[in-house]
Amino acid sequence: MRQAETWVILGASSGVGRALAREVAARLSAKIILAGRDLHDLEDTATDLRIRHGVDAEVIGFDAAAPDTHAEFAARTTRRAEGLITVCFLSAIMPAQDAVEVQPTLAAEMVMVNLAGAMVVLLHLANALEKRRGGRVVVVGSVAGDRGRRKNFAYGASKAGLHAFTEGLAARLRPQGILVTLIKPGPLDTSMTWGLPESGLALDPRRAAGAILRATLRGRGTAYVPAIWGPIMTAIRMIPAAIFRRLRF
Amino acid sequence: MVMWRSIERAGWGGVAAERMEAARPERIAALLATLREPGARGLLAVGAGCSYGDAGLNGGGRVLLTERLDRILEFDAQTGLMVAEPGVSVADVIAHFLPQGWCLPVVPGTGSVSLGGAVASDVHGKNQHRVGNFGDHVAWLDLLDADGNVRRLGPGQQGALFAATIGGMGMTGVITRIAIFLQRIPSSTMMVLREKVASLDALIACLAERSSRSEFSVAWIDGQAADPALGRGVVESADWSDEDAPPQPVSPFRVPFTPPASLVVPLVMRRFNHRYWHAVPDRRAAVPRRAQAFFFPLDRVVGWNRLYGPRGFLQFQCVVRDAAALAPMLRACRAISPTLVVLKAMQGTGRGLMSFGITGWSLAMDFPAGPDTMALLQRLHAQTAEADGQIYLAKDIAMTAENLPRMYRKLDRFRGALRDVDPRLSWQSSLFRRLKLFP
Repeated sequence: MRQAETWVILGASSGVGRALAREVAARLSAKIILAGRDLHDLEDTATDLRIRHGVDAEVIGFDAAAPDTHAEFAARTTRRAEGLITVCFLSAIMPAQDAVEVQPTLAAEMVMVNLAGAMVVLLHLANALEKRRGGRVVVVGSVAGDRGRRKNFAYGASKAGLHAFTEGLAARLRPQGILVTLIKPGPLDTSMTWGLPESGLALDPRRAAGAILRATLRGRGTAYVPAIWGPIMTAIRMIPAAIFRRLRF
Repeated sequence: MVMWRSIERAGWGGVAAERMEAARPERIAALLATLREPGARGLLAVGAGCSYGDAGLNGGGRVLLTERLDRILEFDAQTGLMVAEPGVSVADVIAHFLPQGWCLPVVPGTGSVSLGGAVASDVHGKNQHRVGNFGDHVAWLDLLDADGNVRRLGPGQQGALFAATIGGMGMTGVITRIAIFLQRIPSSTMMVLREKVASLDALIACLAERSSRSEFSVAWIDGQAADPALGRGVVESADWSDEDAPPQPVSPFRVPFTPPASLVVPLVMRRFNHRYWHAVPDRRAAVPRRAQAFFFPLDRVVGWNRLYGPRGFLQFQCVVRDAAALAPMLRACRAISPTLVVLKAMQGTGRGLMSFGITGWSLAMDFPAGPDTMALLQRLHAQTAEADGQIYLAKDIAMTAENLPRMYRKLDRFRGALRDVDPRLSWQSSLFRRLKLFP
């Protein structure tokens, strides 16, 4: 008999969140907690997971932009979870860079979800995992967080902050045997990138979900998704700042 | 705020590409938001894009791709009632439910078709003569109208709008939920019988006889054969097997890109048809086949429609009451021989006001697109009208508005239903404008 485990997916009504829930349900016989704002949508996904994969799935409301609710969310989630907990943080918004430049408060809204919300809920959940002396944490960052690109630096900044936070969180939780995996996806073919010009680079969310699950189960510290972004970003990180600030991409 | 992406799309046949703006909602809430931005040429919900012609296009307008609305929402193992979102594909349902002893009662020739599209085109399968069309098995539908209201429709619930939605080519709104009764099956295997027949008369007689005895029946005709072998072909019939045969693994072959020129040229097809005809053994014994392989023979080649090259292909599909109308149609194709010809016995009309189907014979032919193909299709349409038949709108690109009332006798009632549900013409398609479906 397999040991009981629970996957908590924050941001589960996003395209990649739903795909990850499906991938977990198909590959592991784990309980799945879907967390997000659109409760109707999440209930539909939970039903779909139960019918297709026979897993135990339930929905808990979660608003990344409301950090004062996160303590209660973390308590409720850990009460409902069974066995080893894997927390996956996927909540994110990406207003267009030019929209942010016209209306700078959009940047604050974005940081609230992508970074502040992530920090608060993950700190609460980290405390709970420490008490249970086990678990896993998966944080979805972005290749956009590796450099401040002219075309997308507001979003990139929120993700760069998330990367630094995740690195430190990994150091904190490591002694308890809690592994933290940072995923850095390239563009994914979901509603987040639908409004952008078609690039052909965007990865199908099902394939992204498969790669995220594999990286997590192998205990990887950082994983680019797809892996080809690893060498690409290594090259981009080596571009000297003096040159990078002249680039328009 | 809705994100619209400018896309260029053609029908499944690869002809008549048009530019349009597309949204791809992942949640119902996102779908609702699109209704506030209909644009000048209206909106059209599009499933998997398997309509051959322009039924799934809205050139210069906006489309709502439903492919991400793909969840199964309910299944009752007592009654077989399944509720699902419109973007769930036929193949997806079959892959999941076949091992549990359930199947969709109507399975079209490709598994890529979405459930929403299956309702909107009121599709049929190789068992149409027994069980009717897809819509005949729908218990209820949720329809999102242009005002953002979700209406539950069924045979006894807003019946007029239900009948306008089944086979209604998306003109009544967006189907957001489909409840359909699955059928209990004894195994995932079919016992398939094939018989070679040397002439059209013999083929029709054989198909009629097989249809009266078997659950599934269809005939493949050698499109290159002329008199006296005109209409020679292979009649295929099948029934569910009582027990499962050992699985035969098949690996799909993918057509990676559109070749610069059609690979489906007459010389190749003549060889293929000739070989296929001679490959069928003369002995008459049923052989076991996996249900998916029987349902979707072409799906083994993913993207087979690309083999026709950049010019694409056109499909003609009609249904006529009298088999005597078939020979003149086959003879009309002497100049441009069809690459694939399929004949099917049909029984009864569908539930929808615009459903395809009358008791008689359905003839489907694929033609590579070329300068004279449209003229040939017009000639075939005239023959169909002459024979009091119908052209299948989901396959069509060539029909003229004048032929429509004669082929679809409930057109006035359909237009009346559209006037009631959509007076502002919020739902439109390229087919809608070509055939002047305007109420």
